[in-house]
Amino acid sequence: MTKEQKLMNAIGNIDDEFILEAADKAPAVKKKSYVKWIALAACLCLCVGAVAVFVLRNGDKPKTSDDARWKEKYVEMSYELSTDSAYEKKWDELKIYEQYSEATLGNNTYITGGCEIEKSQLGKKLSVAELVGYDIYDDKYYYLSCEGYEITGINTECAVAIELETDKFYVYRNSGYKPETLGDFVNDLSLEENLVVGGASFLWYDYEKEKYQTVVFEDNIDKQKVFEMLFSDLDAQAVKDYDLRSFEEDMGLSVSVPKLGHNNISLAVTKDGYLTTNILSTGKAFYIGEDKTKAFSDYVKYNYEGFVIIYVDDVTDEDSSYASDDDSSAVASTVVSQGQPAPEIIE
Amino acid sequence: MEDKDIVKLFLERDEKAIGYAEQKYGTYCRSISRSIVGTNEDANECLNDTFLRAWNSIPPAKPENLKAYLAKIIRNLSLDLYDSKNAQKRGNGEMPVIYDELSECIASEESVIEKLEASALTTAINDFLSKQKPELRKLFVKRYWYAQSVKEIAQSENASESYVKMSLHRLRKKLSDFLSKESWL
Repeated sequence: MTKEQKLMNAIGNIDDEFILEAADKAPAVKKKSYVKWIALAACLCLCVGAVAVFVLRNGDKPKTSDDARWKEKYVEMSYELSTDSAYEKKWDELKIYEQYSEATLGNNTYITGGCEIEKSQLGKKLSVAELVGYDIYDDKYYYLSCEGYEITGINTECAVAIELETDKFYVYRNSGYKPETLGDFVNDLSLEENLVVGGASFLWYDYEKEKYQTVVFEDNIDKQKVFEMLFSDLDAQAVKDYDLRSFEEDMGLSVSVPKLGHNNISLAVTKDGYLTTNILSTGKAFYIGEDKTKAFSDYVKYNYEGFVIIYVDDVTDEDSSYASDDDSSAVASTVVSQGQPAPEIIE
Repeated sequence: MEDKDIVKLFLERDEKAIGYAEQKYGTYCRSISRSIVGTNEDANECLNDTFLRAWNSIPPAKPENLKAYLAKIIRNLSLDLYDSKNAQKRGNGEMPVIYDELSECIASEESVIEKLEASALTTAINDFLSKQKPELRKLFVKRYWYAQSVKEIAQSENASESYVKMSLHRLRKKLSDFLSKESWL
């Protein structure tokens, strides 16, 4: 055994707490793949022709998620091998926000994903932000001081804007932000104004195939309904030990907060009454009650058209939807089956 | 179904335990394996062996956290499979790069790693991780426990890839210093 293998094995036996803390809680990345690429696949479906569609039993929308089938869409998957870690850019090759991705302002540390923000979105000037960059080739630290600004409608505990170059401002987010209540969270981010709501998805147990399938709702869910149904109890307390808990998602929304540079991240409800999200990069959960979370899940299922996405893989598996659910490097490409006979219709 | 109820089925030798465990953690376990072994076929093989191994080990084992217990099994199986298939050549995916990165944590002279017993090394790494900020610790565990790519980590943590790379580099340096200084020998 090599020393590297020995170290890798030793890392394997670290405390369960650390392993669970780092487990991806909500399939935000997968949701990106589903919603973005399924919308594309839907458009391509119309262009290329044959799509595998099964008529819903009795022609009705499913009354429950368990006793009815959902329409299916076939999407061909191709896997991208990640080669991004093979070469690390030299200091001069990095963009300025890549060089100085971490900033300290006041008592908070912020990091940036490189999202620029217009000057018109800024509020008052804050104190000077201190930034640190590290050149891994020369083992050298670089320091920069820049002006920090409020972002209008966003509490500085959540995010700030930093002027890295003259008249170029970047959003820096505080992943350590922990709201006390749902009301704090909504107000600190002006979520009613800043949240953009996309489609939804949930895991459905297919008793016929004896496996879980993802049902995707492509249309944007009504934002007003989302706020009415999920954000009415502003006194709902935030869960303090989020990283040590497991939350079983019942229905997940794809949401964006453009002002923070967030695109297609997660806002979800769980079976046991929690509203969860990874807005501002770390997991947050608020207990709003099982009645509310179930009502919301049912609202989406009964009012929006959902599809089971069947990924056609490059291996021999006929139905690779199980295989592809958890591969976040997968990219959906064009729809299969031009010229193939239509599958048997289920009445 | 709660973990404690699934574990109870294992202890009672009720085969439904495997089905429930797979429903609840199959996708999670499979994603761990896929990151290491690189192909769906090998990941499926490891997944099947995982539940068999869980069946054979519970009892006497009585895991307090079933998710972590299964995760550790499949990680070990996946690493063994990867290492056995790639003994003589570099494989695909993240593992060759991860091993290269971990070699930075190993002192060039008189390797601490060689002298430490495996359990002592794990204790040292736990101690090191407990001293890190949670957001940095997560990056380390995602990279070297879950074998996720820098791109995946950046996306899931909503950070830039350069931030992730810089942070991982610093953490490896800190771990190397930590292991050298500790009197574990």
